[in-house]
Parts: sequence; structure tokens; C-alpha cells
Amino acid sequence: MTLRSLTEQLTCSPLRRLIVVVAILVAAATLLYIGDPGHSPWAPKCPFWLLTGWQCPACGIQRFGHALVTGHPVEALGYNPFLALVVPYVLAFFVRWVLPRGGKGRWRITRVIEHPAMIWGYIVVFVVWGVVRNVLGV
Amino acid sequence: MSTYCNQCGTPMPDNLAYCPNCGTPRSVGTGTQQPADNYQQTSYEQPAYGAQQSYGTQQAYGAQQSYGAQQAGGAQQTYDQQAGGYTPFGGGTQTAPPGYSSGAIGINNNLLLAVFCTLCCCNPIGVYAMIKANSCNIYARMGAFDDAQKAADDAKKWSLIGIGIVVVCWLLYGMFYLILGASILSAFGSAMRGF
Repeated sequence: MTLRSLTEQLTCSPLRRLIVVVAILVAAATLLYIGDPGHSPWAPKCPFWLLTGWQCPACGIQRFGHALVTGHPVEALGYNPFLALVVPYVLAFFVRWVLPRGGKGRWRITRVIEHPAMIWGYIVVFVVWGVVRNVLGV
Repeated sequence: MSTYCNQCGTPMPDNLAYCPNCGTPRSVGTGTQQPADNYQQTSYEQPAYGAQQSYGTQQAYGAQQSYGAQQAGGAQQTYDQQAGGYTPFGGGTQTAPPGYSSGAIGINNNLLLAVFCTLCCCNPIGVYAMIKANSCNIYARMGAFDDAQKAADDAKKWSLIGIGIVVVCWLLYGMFYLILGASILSAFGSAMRGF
């Protein structure tokens, strides 16, 4: 079985795509649950931060996820409030991918998440937050 | 002379394979009628080329309100087939009416990959890839499908480059960490032997 046909097998129906997405999320949540990225040496470190000492706009994403899956949403927000906007945005991509091909649901989601204002809004918020957090030291 | 799309009556430049407005393929969707006639002539006579399932929603989006009956009779030819079986990750096919997203014409603009890249600490490259993914949609809306595909490929290429840079840095850092740890251990070991 080639990789391509395996991928098609895994993604050919909404139920199977749902299983794939849930498996990915559960795997990520498990990793974040068992390891504390704030203290574990195994957690990948951002090269940009190591070199410059500046925080990326997404810096804190692992601690954010760890706090979230261990049931501390407020603490998670303290690590990076910007991610509270990103998580639903990324989840919308997953939801769209799961939905039946050719259905109206995909189009409705696409109309929102791929709207030029949404994309540019993301970029502007991303850049502004990256500057603000380093200037203010948030 | 230029032709007109039989589906929506938009003038079609000769070099386009799909209608820039509604995405109907030229092979089933063009004629030389004037757009004004087209509204009357084509609606019921040739239902086989109601090309997209998504017309119901496209109608809601306001462009072609006079097409309701025609859409109901459409044959729902899928973009999957037209695009040679290319099924993009995010876009699916025929998910959105053409004109809003490149997914409707079977091009995956790799926007999710670009967003992921911005979250992987490769900020400028990720932002550039997002802009490229947006350009892909713009080109698709204009009917410039080659340019849309090129923008989508660029978005994918730069996202992967950005993610690759970060992953390589992680690996280098991990190796550095291991080597440092090993040398500390061995130094500690030789120091212990001294006692």
C-alpha cells in the first residue's frame, strides 16, 4: 500500500477525517499533559528566542497548551492571550476539512476564514502583538 | 471575438479554461451569445452543465439570483474530476463558489500550512506565505489559474522552508544539549576519579 492510497483511505469520508483529527488532537494533548514544557529539557526551544532573547508572537504556545489540557485556562491566557484567538481559527480549518466535500458547511467556513479581511487581520494582529509584547515585556 | 460563459454570461477571454466569475469549464459552459440572451436561453435547455453543487449558496451571496431553477436542475459535475483527482487538504473541491476561494477550483492555497508556520517561530516567512495564500485566492477570483497555482506553490514552499529552518534549529540545539550534557558528565567523572 502506497502512502498516497493510505492517505486517501484515511481521509475519504467525514467520519474517517474526524477520527484523524481527533487522533492528532489527542496525541498533542497527551504530549502536553505528560510533559511540562516550562521545565522539561525535551521541549523544543524557539531558536529565535535563544538567539535574540525576543519573544515571537506565538511564544508560549507549549506552556499555553500544557496549562489548557491540565485545566488552567486563565494561566494559559497569561502565557499568550493571542493564542486564544488562534486556537479557534486553526480549529475552524480542521472542522472545514472534516465536513463533507462539496457541502455547504465547507463554503460557509471558507467564507469566514479565508476572507481577505480575516487573513490581513490575522497578520496585523500577529505583528502588532509581537511588537507590543516585546516592548512592554508581557 | 470573445466568448461568454453559458452559465452566468460573463465574457470569457480566450485563454481561460474556466469562467472567471462562476468557474464553469469552457468545454461545457461557453457560447457566443450576448449575456443578456443567455439568461433566457440556457436555463432549462441544457441542465447538464449546472456545474457546481454550491450554486445554492452562491445565489445567497447575491451574484446570480435569477438562476434558482437552473441550479436545481444542475448535474453536479464535480471539480474533483475536472482537476484530475487532485484533492487538496484544506480546500476540498467545489467547497466555495468560485470567486471566494481557490479551493473552489481545486487549488489548495496552503493557508493552514502558512498559519502553522507563523506559529513555529518563523514569523516573516510565515507571514509571507499567508500573503501568498491570500494572493492565490485573489488570482483564483480573477480567473488567473496559473498564477493562483503558482502562488499556492509559493505559499507551500515558503511555509515548509520556515518550518524546516525551525526544526533544523531544534535538532542542532538538541545535539548541542546532548553533547554539553555528555561532556559535563565525563568531566564530572574524571573529576571524581581524581579523588
